[in-house]
Amino acid sequence: MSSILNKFVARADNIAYRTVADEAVIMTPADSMLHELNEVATSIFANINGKRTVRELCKLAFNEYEVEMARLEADISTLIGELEKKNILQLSDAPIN
Amino acid sequence: MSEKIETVNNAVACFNSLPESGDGKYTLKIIVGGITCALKLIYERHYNELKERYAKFLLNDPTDVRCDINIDVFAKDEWDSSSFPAIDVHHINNKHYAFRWDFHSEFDTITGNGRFLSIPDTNILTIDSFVRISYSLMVVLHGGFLIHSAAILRNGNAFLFSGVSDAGKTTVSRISMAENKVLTDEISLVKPSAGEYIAYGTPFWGELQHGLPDSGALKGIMFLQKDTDVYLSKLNRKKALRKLMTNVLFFAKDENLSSRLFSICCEAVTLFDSFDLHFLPDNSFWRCIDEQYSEQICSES
Repeated sequence: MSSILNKFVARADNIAYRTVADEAVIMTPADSMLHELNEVATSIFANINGKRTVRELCKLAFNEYEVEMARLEADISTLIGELEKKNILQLSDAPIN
Repeated sequence: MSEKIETVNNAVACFNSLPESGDGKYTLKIIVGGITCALKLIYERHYNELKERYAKFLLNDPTDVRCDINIDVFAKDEWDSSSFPAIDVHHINNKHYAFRWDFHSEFDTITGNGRFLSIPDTNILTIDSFVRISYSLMVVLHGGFLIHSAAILRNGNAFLFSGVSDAGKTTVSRISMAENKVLTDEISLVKPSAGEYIAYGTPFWGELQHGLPDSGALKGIMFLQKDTDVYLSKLNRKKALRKLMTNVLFFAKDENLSSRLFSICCEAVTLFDSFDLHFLPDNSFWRCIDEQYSEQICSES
């Protein structure tokens, strides 16, 4: 978990997404699959810009939600990892333009 | 190179040896949802059968003016039918390939040119499949989509009844024919115009063998649910988007076109209502729809 927290995270270039009723619907065009995020995941997704690390995303979420930081780091790391596996996000050791 | 990649490459390569234009002597032109298509056919039998199938959608244009879609049909005597048991789609830039056990096809979304290759005595349904594929790609470039749905005009307004095979599209169409205009019982074409979406009939009919070249402003899409009770359940935009995308016909793995289709569907669900329609095999569902839309008309006024 510690390694992913220091990674920079960006949205994959080729995804298409819309926020519908406060929840993101994301399409990965390579397989035309639709992926849905809940409201909390959508707000985390909205803060992803390639210049923030996962840890920084956790801090932003900490300001927004009344949840322990350790819990947030675990949950957000899991979320980011899952979205990376689905080719929705990309991770890097350096900021991503 | 894996066997699969080699098979696909060989199928793509077969188009390199084909001329751009075929030797077809029989040209048939149709118009569906304002999108024109010219089919250049080799065999008189195909011409006559397709002319009958598309009779209500024929475009009487004897000129050489190019259509939006221009398909050349080719025939090949020897055919390996084992390579693609089910439809397999690929694309290289703007060229979209579909391979199935009974045909190989190529469609260029920039030029609108298509080439279709099959055995000489192929069934016209095979050619019809490629026409559907070509329309499914071209309509996205016109900001619309083809969808598995019956389209029915009631009092000038269009309603779609969508679902997979056996969902009830034909049942709903058959029940509605007496009092309404059924535009299609199988595949509808939906396209924007002046801030709203228009539903068009198509000749891509199903069991009822019924399609009309008419259209109407799309008021609502009903996703069919066979039930023991009759009611409408309004879908939020997220559910509507998922159901719409599931029922749209799209035969491409092209990221740009897929993204475009996604944007079109996102826009579409904001411009017409989406419902789950729980229905019985009688016309009682129209009462629900009439009540829903009379309430809307009242609240709008």
